[in-house]
Amino acid sequence: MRSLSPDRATLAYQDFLRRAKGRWARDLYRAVAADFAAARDRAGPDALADADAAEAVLSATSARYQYFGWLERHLQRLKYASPRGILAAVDAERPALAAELAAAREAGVARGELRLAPGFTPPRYFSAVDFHQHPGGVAGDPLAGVAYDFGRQTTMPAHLDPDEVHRRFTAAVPAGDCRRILDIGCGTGRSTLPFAARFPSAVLYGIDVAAPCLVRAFQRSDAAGVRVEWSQQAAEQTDFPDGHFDLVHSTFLLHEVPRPALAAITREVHRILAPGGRFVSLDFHSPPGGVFGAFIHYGHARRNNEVFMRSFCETDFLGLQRDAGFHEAVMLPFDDGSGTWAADEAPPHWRFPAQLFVATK
Amino acid sequence: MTQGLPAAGRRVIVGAHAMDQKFFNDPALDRLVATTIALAAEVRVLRDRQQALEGVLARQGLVVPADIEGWQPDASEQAAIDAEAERFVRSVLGPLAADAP
Repeated sequence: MRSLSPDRATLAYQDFLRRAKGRWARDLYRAVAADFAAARDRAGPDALADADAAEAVLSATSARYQYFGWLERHLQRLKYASPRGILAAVDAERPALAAELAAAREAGVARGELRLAPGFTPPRYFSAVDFHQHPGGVAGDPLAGVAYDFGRQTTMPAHLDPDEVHRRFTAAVPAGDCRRILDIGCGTGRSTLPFAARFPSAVLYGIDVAAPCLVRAFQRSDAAGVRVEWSQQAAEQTDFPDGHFDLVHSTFLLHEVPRPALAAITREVHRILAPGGRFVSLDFHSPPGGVFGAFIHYGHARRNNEVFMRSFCETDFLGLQRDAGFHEAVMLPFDDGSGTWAADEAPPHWRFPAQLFVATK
Repeated sequence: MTQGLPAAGRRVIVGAHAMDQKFFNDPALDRLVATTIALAAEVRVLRDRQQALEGVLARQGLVVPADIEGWQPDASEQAAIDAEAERFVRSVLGPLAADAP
């Protein structure tokens, strides 16, 4: 599987952005926390009663929060959309990458491991947003999956290994006999493949609305020697029979969909799970740290084009799962590995509020 | 401040010059920071190149400082230098002139 191989100048530029984001996640984050505490001491807790009030006060009075916000938005924007950005690097290698992807697509379809839906129209909430500032989104270009794979290396500042969080999630999934396992919103397959080792006798499935990511996912499973049934489908309405799966999982999908889609996905997962089957999700919810945590997380959503991230946080997802028929639904703390800074870089630092959701049919 | 699905026919997008969100009391500062970061990134790219170049030359046993100080570019080398200098200035000053919604 061919990876992006940018020139030395692009790598140095991207390395600069990654290091800048690391300082942002520690130095700027701590500075904003100090300014927040000072503002609360000055004006009293009522003045910073919720995330919106904190945003109004800090954005007007804290120069350090202004720099924090600028860097959060634009370091990510520059990563993709600048002359030394990922999209320019993809363009520089376009003919070779496109030829390899076209060959993979043909092979995956011919072998029956990749089902693409000609004329498929992704949900508008997906196609209308450049999530996490990826210009054109992850379906706007046949090479979008390659760009996304490269960009993942710096999505979480502390995650130099982008597969670490997926290994941790897979290890956290409750053990049990599984004949069939489905990854909804599987992207480029990073979240799907670790399940092959944990559940070696299960047949793995992955669905996504983005064909460019599915082709990349097939390349990934093919390179690993793992068979996965990849198909282009929306998780709200799949073509799987009732009770087909013992385990359905998602990673960082739920915060990318509006509330009606979230409810529809939850109902559909319940339908395709066998009795006793589990729906396990890793996602961002219930930011710790009270008003400050919510203020930081909702600010991230706004600055990074995560337009449904806040509505997901404000949704009682456990209640929604019970309404869909799950008889048990819990949210558990999850260590996404953000604490893996060097020894002299003690917390606090910026991190996603990762949570593990486990629901049983 | 809650976001949501954009109106029909619209997208939530980001482009190379999408300075659409403002973070400072004076919007001029948003551009100034953009210029500063662009400059800093280019300096880092340059330093990386220079370190690599000096490493390559040192391994070949060349006396690097004297060679660099005494180097006279020919016409095509000078043209390449000019093009790179122009690109650099454009990248540093670009954010100041970019369209802002």
